[in-house]
Amino acid sequence: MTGGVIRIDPATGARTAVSENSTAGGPSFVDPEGIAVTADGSILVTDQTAFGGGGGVIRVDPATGARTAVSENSAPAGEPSFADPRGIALDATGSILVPDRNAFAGMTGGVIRVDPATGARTAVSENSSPAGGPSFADPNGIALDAGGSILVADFNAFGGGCGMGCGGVIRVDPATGTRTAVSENSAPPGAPSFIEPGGVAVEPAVPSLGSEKAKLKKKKIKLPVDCAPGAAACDDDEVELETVKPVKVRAQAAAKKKIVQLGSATFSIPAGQTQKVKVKVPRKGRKLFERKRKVKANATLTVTGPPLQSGTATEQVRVKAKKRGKK
Amino acid sequence: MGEPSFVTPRGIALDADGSILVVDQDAFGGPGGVIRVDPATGARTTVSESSTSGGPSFVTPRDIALEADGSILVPTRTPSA
Repeated sequence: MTGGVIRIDPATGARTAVSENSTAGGPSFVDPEGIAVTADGSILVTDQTAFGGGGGVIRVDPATGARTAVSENSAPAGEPSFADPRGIALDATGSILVPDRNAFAGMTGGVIRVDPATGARTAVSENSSPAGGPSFADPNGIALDAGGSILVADFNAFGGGCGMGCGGVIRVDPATGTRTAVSENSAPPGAPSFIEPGGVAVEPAVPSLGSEKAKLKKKKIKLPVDCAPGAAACDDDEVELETVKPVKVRAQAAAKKKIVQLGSATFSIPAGQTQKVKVKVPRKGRKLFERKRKVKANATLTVTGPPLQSGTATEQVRVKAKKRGKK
Repeated sequence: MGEPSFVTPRGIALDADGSILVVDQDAFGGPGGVIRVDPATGARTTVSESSTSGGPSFVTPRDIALEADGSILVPTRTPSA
């Protein structure tokens, strides 16, 4: 087998080749398996059997498709060795994390950390080190949660010979390598059951409102926003405010009821902190506050990348304007 | 045409608008492709498969990642020459 990397237009589905063995130099793909994108846009690929069989990590230039070796068993030499590297993820410092299904003694697999600059490999977690906790059987998929914990989807952990596989998700402490079960078919019990879970991704933590109340002052709503504890910092996230119900902007009987936009803002807040976000109220919104001192609003909070994931949540907030005549 | 069916879903990622993207190594009659899943309803739609949209074909795609502009990257095998 050989292989390559395909880029897909998310709107049209059109495919273009980024890199394949015949068009650019560098190490050849044999069984490309996992893929990740670094902060500077480089593409990293794990290949199960490249470099003579043991596999390794290949960096791909996203523009030219040129391939360079990041880490393989002979360069740099040293343990642990790859045997069957599968998924790939990057931690907050740019270190590369690779679950390998057959690495380590007994070929039961584990998680290997790779230095992105030198390619040096270090063991993060394998069944004998540290001992205790659920054992890996076929660790395949990997992701990091907002707090930096490593999550591994294992095809056959928790199995005990249940035929088709009885996999689950294992959390790995990135510092100590300690393994704890996140979910397996018997804990908690209930449907659906895992059979062979191969991949894992984490939904982002969405910031929430720090209070159900906010104040309008000098044409701006001061909205307390809580950047979820354990989340990565809220970086350039967005909030939009609009009335919960259609309302009349003007008091006239003939005026139509409409949902009124009360403004939007982007904000950056350190993880775990609550700060007041200033939302500038547009003219129609200000007209509404001239008529009503209290307005019930929906605040829609949206998380945007990086990492390139997003989530939204809508919460209600009661916005109170200062007394008429006061600015 | 109905929704695409999962056969052997292997990799998963979330795009910028919260959609779930799943790469399936055996869907679409064998060669695999990318399926978008609505996170609220679970509805599946085709993003890309080998018989449509042109470009290189999928062979056993097993993982998926997104670039900063939202482009989707998928590693693929190719039959040996």
